[in-house]
Amino acid sequence: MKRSNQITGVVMLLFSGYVVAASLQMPLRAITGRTSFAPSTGFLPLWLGVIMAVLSVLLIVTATLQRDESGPKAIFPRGRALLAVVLFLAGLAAYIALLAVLGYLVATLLLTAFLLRVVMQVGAKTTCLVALGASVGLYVLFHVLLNVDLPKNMFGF
Amino acid sequence: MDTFQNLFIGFQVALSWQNLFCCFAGCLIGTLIGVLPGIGPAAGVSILIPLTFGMNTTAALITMAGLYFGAMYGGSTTSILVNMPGEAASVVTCLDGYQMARKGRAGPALGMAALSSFIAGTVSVILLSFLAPVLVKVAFSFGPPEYFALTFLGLTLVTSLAGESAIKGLMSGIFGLMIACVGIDPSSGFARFTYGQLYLLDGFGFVNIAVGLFAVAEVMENMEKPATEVYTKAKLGFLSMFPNRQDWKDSFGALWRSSLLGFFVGVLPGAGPTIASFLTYTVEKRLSRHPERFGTGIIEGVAAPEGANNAAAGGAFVPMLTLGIPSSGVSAILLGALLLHGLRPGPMLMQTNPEFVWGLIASMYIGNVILVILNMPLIGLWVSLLRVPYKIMMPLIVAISAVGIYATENNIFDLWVMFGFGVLGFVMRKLDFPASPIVLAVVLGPLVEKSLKQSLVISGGSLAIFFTRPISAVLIVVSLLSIFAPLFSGAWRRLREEGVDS
Repeated sequence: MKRSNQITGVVMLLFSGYVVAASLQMPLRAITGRTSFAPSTGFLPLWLGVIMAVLSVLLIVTATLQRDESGPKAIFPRGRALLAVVLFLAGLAAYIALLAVLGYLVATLLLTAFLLRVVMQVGAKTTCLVALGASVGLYVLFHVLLNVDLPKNMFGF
Repeated sequence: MDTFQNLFIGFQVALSWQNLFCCFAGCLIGTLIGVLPGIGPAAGVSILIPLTFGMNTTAALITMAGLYFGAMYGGSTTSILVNMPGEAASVVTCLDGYQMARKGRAGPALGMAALSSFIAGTVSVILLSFLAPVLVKVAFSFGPPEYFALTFLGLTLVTSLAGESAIKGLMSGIFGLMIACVGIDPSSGFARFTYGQLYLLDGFGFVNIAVGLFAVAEVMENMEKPATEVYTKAKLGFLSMFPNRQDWKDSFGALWRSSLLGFFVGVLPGAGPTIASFLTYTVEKRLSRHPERFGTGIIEGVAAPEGANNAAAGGAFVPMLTLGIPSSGVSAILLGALLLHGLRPGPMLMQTNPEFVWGLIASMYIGNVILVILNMPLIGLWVSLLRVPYKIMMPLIVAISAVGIYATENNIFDLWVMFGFGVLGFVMRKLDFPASPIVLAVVLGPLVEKSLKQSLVISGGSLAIFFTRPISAVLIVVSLLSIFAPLFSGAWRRLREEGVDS
């Protein structure tokens, strides 16, 4: 955890630097007068950036001072679990990207089938049943019963 | 007297067929979500939001409140039977519940979990009915500094209580406020952090963030865990579930203390059912004449946390309905849903929409009755549902989340937001950053910014305004204590340990 906290701290420090820089480009005061103080658009993000920077430094410092009793521990998944997570994300990304082209029904059928068969390694028969049931069921519920305008393919479904 | 009249109106609303059905459906889905370990109440409520858009606001919130309470009831089932909490608020129930099941007393443990939930839940709704109108009267005297102080308290408490590290909790909260900044600034019309994207002018969309952080991230995290199986073959007959006379005698103190303590912890901005359950368990252990028996399978160890988490779920509605300030992750999501349905939460809500507020409160009385019926005789059904493998559940959760997100705005971009926050939520879980401060901050963000700016305009830029008004001064001091106390107590403990070491 020690190393990952240090890295997170550095990343967040850079991020807060960006937020501060971007906020300074925005109007900070609505009215510029000697007596009136009227914070404007950039005010809150600027201070949030400053506080985040302080917290990031605190995180780096405490992580560095920390004795790492547990030793280097794998935080992120490895091997089979990593593969599952990556496949899941790839499947979901492909689904979102192809939703407008394939239409809701086909895309959802493919997504659920992919998740069941490839990611979760469910048997072929169960995969077909559950994927078909889920995609048609959701299509009927949302499109037919709730009248939601779901993405269509060139054939109109 | 007013309260009784209002409750009468509320019951007229809640007892309509449509609302009764919604309450039942919410309780049913909630129990299911509570029972299944793969999905928590926050994910459940956020997936449900888009599904309720076709309903009127009262029915929608009744469904969601039912779901929230249902998850609190159902969460104990897996804690007791498989030593795996259905959701975070039932973690403590494992300690004694599972030990009871191992001793062959799964029935009374499940029964006491349901009955203590019912008793504490009902006490908490009664307190809500009488306390909320009083708090509304106080809230009318609140100006921008008080509102800022309240949101500040909520954010600091949730961040300092949420995870292991106060720094990480605070970073989550600040990050959430940054997210809330994205979009058009209502005070100036200036677009912030939108990078020329039209979609971002309205911000990231609260439902997309919540579903990503909770549902998608939860799915990813669960993919690594080995599949769980219910290996208890305990026969769970209806009659075997009733606790005996000795059980009642042992639990009596725990029951009323958990009802009261749970409720007040729930009211506190930033604390929630999970903290309530931990706190009451600790209190019961301290007060007990035989603290060493806690954790060995005693019934008060089940009654206390299960009562407390339900009482806290009811208490959470007090600041939400009276001040428009959510007290925890799930109530932040409920408040977000309220806003999406076009209601303005705050002290005026009880006056402008009494049927809604009192209908919702009345539905909670009914929901508690429905839930005890769902949980006592039907427990066998819920246990058999646990045999549906997660392998099959996971793709369904993803598909339902995706269609719900799309249905909210008919926009594919929202799915990418869900995807992004899903990845972020997964990384945050791995790095021990709590996710609920983000959701709370996103919902509170606009109110934080508005009340802060207004206060500073009134004071001419001086922060002293937060300390010269008594209510805001107290709230700010408590908030600051909640931030710094853990830092100092941690340092103190370390110093002492090092002293002992040397």
